[in-house]
Amino acid sequence: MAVAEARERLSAIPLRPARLRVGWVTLGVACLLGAGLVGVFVGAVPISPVESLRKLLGFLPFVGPSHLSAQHEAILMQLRLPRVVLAALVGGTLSISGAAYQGAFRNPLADPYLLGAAAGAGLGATFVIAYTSAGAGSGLMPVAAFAGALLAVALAYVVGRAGGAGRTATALVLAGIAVASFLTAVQTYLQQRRSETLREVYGWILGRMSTVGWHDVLLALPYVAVGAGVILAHRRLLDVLALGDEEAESLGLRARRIRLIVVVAASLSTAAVVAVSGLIGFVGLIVPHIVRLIAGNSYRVILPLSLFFGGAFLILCDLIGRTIISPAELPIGVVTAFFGAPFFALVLRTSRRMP
Amino acid sequence: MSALEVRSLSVSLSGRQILRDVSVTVSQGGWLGVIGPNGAGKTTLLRAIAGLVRSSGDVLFDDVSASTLRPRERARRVAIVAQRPELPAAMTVADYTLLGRTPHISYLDTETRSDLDAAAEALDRLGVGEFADRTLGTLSGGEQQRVVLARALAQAAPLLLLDEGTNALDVGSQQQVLELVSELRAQDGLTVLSAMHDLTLASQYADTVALLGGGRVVAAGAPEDVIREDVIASYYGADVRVMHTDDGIVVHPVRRRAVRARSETRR
Repeated sequence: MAVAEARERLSAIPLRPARLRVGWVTLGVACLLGAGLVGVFVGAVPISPVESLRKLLGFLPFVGPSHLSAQHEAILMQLRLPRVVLAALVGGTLSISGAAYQGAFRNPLADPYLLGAAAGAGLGATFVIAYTSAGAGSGLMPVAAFAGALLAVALAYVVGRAGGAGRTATALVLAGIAVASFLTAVQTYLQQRRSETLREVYGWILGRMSTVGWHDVLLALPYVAVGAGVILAHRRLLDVLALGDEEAESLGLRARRIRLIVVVAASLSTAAVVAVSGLIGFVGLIVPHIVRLIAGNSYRVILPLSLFFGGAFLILCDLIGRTIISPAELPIGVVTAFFGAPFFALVLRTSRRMP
Repeated sequence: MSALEVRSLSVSLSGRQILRDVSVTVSQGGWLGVIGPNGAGKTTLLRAIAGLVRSSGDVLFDDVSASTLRPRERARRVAIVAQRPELPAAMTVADYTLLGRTPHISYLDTETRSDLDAAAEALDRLGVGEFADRTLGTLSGGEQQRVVLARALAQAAPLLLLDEGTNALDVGSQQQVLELVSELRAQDGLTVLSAMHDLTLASQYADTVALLGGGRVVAAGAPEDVIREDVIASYYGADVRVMHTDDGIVVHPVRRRAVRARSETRR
């Protein structure tokens, strides 16, 4: 009797924990698919959207054969589609990694480059461009950028642990800043010594999505899949970390170990996308905040939605970058900031949530 | 059987010894008030019991040594309400309370129905069920304190450590919180160890008190045996009157004669 009464009373309490609502997932997927289709349909060469769609959906039953010319089909399948998929992959990865960094360091200003991944990748790329005969287009570039990014983060971790006895997240952030500054100095030195490669180095640093075929997508995909999977698995634990290390530990967690796992996963996937796309600023910092402002503050919501919205955002930025001054291309890093910053300001103004 | 036994606990933080050879016991369902001046080591004692600082000596929960427990197991035995808990302003009361279930949820899992029920029950018992959807930043100090207690209650640990959780509250809210803890203790057989500033409240709610001075237990026992004018004078450096009333001990500070005399001559 008393139990039934208690049950009745309990059900009256509106206990609605933060969950990823179906509506948000639907919207995220719709945005990603919508942006992807626009990205595939629009380009320098006009290709019939209907025929393109027929080609893309050719695997489905009852979809008639596509009437695209061989040339158009090649543009669609080997240029536009891989480029759109790469943009989605890079945008989604930078966004979810940025959100993971923000959660792990409890710092809203954190982005995936916080621990020096960008500076390390930049140094690796500059080295290849300036000191090898291979040049920017070679297969050596992603390897060098990937290695540089991971080395930088590892170095920041070692320095941070030595400095702050590994205790505080702040020590780690400061170590990251020091490592990034140092590596940037080395990179600038190398670049100045070979000033004839300046333009090429800058082209890489501002980021680009130009790709032919599926090579870059396949190169980054395994790291991104593992990294994003590990980050997503820690979504609830990142909410616990919001209470600070000590309270998280009083709830039975090992806060520093969780931070290490999340940061390693985010750094690994960031390094993989930096290796194939160069340095694209702003996305990893701003997309998680836009998600936070419109959809809620729990990492269960922020992490998966950052993946979708970050992907959609970068597809659109790439579309603008390659069409606005066609046939030339505007570096995508310029587009992300130029359109992203005003949009963020708008969301900030109209949102009633705290950032 | 004692719910908590602390055996010659010592703690050093960055080379400075904070606690020396502290031993206290609390029986099942008991309430130990830890009193002492600022810097005596009250907070450190609570943190050491919760396993948040490295210590030597031993802590036993129901005769089980804490050194044999994994962090999650320990968190299922002891909940701590910090002095200034971190309250993410944009987090809802429901989400915050659910975090208390963390030691009952395996590493990468999410809450089950029973976790939601436990959190709802905790909110209900502390009278903050109606706030479930509000964010922490919109609550008053007293409401926040009750929500923090709700999180600790949702943790379902038989031992509750309260760290001066009431000192920023007005007298009404302070009393409410202590009454709530007292009720939970009566209903659930909760064992409580609280670090307290207010000696009057300590004597009213705790059934035993331990006075810490310079990192040692300098007096322990029933409140009326420990909270004495001479003891308070020597360890707090305070002039107080201790009055024994029908409602228990009342401690009130009196203005020092020497100081008063000097300020009067100046006038």
